[in-house]
Amino acid sequence: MVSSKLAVASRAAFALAFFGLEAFGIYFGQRAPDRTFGFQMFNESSRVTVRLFREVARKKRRVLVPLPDGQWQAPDARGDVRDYAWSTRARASSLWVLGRSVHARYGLDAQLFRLQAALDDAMRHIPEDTQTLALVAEVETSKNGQPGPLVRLRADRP
Amino acid sequence: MIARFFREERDVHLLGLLRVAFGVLLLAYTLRRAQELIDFGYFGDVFHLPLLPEYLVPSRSGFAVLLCLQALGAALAIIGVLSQGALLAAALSGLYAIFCDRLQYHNNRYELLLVALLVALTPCNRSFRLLGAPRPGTGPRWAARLVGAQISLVYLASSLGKLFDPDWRGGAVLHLRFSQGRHITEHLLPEAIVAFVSRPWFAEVASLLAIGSELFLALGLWFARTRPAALWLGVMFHVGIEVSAHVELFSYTMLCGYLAFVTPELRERTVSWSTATRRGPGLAKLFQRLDLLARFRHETHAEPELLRVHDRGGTAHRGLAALRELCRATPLLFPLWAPLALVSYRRKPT
Repeated sequence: MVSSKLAVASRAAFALAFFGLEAFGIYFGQRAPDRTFGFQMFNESSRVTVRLFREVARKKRRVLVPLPDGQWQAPDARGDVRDYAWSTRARASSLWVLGRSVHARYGLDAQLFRLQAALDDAMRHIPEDTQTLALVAEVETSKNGQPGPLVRLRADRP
Repeated sequence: MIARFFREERDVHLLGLLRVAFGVLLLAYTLRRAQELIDFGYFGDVFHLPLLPEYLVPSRSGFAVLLCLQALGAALAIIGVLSQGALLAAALSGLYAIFCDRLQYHNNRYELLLVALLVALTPCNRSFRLLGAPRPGTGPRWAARLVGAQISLVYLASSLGKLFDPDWRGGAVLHLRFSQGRHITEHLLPEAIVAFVSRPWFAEVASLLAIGSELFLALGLWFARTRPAALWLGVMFHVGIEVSAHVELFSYTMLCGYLAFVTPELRERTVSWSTATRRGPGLAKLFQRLDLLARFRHETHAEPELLRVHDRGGTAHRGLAALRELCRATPLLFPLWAPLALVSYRRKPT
């Protein structure tokens, strides 16, 4: 009898903990820009076009150099010219697609959130590049068929 | 009532099938992740977004080992060796990998892993075993109920998210999806139908129907009166998603999850085929094989009437009504149940 009561109590506690955690995940997902754990299927039909730039200093001014294919060359501290590519770090996601309108998976906010994180990540991983002061992305947005604002994201050298 | 819910004991036979189904899905998912590892490299070596602290993200070789163990766990679950622990470990390792990179998160993957975890808690190791004799009988039902709750929760969260989104409710989201798929439908459908389905109001109606369907699935699966209709709608819904959108293993996960809603008791209906007809004996053999869920006692009779079905309440059905009852409980023929129910609903049972 005691073991039966214990079994019921432990099963109920598990069910409560399982669905409690999951409900928290859904709550988190509703607020998270990328809807992680939110079970929001087919939530938007939005699109983004990402254009990438690197910010460099020229004649004491900061200028944006377009990177249509995401590739650039820059000297390291010893003066040796090295090759860099946006797709080296962002290859596992759709963020590497530049200059072309693509579906914003999990919505516009999700793609902008991921793009900002990708820019920060890229800047952290090019310490040898002595020229690039920042990476800048200009994003043409369209949310559910309505043209959205042009969003500018940037990541400065850490 | 809570104590009764957690103490309930029912037949365990079908839980073995549930385990095999989720073992197969988990193995397919693991192989997909292994293919991604080969095609795109290890996610930890490139841009990734862990939900866990970075030091808890495994190395490339650690992740490869994890995938191997996950595949092994899924395989053991399929054959029924150490199946509960193996399925649980495989599901947990899959969840861990999702927490290592939220870029890899997809609702369908998360749902598959959660359901697999719950299936592992059911007494699913007593039937459909490759090695060892089955151990029929009853066992605790509570975890199977949680599998059902998990299936419903996805429909509920998804439908409410859409319902509270004015763009979704108003058809803007689906209208664009239809427009994007127009180049495909133009090849398949007459021009007049393509023009009809391309109108904004059609997308609005389709959106409301989709939201209504998901809400109905979330609730309708739980009541005996609405369950067949909910299951049928769910089958159509997921076949539609699979044909139009190919969302990895989502449709298969949900369709296999429906097994948790099948009445656990076996062979409570009777199907009887005529041995006096030419087709009767062959059909009897065929339907014995198609009866994957062991819904029927299979009998024969000598009268010329080809098919008779007795439902769970003992009511006899003949002709189209018998065919309807047969389709209702035979998974491969279940899509035919609703049309047959529509054409035969006036026929009185005998």
